[in-house]
Amino acid sequence: MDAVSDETLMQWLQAGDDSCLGALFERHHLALFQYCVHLTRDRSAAEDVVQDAFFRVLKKRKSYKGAGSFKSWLFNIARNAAFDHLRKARRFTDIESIPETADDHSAPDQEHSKAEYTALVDSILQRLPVEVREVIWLGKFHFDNYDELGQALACSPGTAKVRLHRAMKKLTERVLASTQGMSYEL
Amino acid sequence: MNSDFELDDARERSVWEALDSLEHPSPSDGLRRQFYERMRRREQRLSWLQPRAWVPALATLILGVWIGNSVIPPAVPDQMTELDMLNARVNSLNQAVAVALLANDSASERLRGIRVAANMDRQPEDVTRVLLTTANTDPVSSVRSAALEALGPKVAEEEIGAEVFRMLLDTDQPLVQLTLADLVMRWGSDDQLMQLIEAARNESLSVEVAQFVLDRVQPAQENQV
Repeated sequence: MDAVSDETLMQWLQAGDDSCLGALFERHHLALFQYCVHLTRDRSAAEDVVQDAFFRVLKKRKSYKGAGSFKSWLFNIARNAAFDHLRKARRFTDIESIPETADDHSAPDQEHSKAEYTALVDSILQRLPVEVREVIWLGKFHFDNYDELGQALACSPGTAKVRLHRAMKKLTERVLASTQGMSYEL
Repeated sequence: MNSDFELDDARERSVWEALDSLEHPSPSDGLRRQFYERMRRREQRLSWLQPRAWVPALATLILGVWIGNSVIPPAVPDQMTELDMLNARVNSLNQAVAVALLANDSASERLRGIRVAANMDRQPEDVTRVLLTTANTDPVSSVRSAALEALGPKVAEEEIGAEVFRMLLDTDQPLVQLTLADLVMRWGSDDQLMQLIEAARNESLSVEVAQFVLDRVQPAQENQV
């Protein structure tokens, strides 16, 4: 456990100690990078977005009121930075343009390994719209309750719950459609 | 993790579990380097707007060296062995290099100055004072921390220890306070350590730093018992 909490470092940053940003960067840049890679699907862009996010923290420090966790506030800032990047790069993928089923998989009745099943889930996840991918990624790897998930996504806990539920349903349906007739060693 | 989330059925759970094995990429070394470079540039920009606290210290040092060279007669050769003279010159040269580097605008040059100062056999009082000023006022946190590290064992000296304590109680930057407290815990004398514990208990330190000190000191005291 860290000697000083994120929220305390943020208070010190608000009080004018800019070096606290380095401590926050060391704690969170890896998780933010992975989230941003997931959103942008571009490692180089994700690094730019992470940097941008931390300097937005510096710029917006006075607006942090400490109501929720610092982590969810930071992820929300990174999310906005990533979406700004995506808007500029015109990479938004329209939900209707996503193929309903993946069609490049093996024949039915074939037995597959766990690794293949994971690769299949990953490949289907990557084809889903960014709004679906992000809620699954955040819910799976970064937040364990709807309050924080909602703060990161800038919505209410109830909306976060509905979004995660729908996203998982969509992912599961597409995985099932791709694996009909196949069995996996899980 | 994810204890708060409910999944509809076994099929969703199996997909959810498959996500555990997804790749978690790592950023390149460039991310950290670029972040700190951007921080350094920002701090440099801001530092030009702030009054430079080390300027009077540097001016005093240069004046002192000039007076020393021009007014005080040089040591008589037979009172000093050749080796002593050579050592004194090297030390004097290192002193000048360290002080000049510590006054440089570039943070990396100031870090070099700190390394030179830290490697000096006998750190002159003037260099120690410039290090203290750097530790207290340098706009770049890594330079402040390095200056504190370079002071290291000197913290046990009464005068330096007192100065470190003054900085500890005066600073409004808790991260610096944390570094100073850590320095006293590692290098300070028993008296200074007791003084630090006292400061932590009587709320002279920020709450988190006081907690950090007490958490670190108490297990050590228990082990001694």
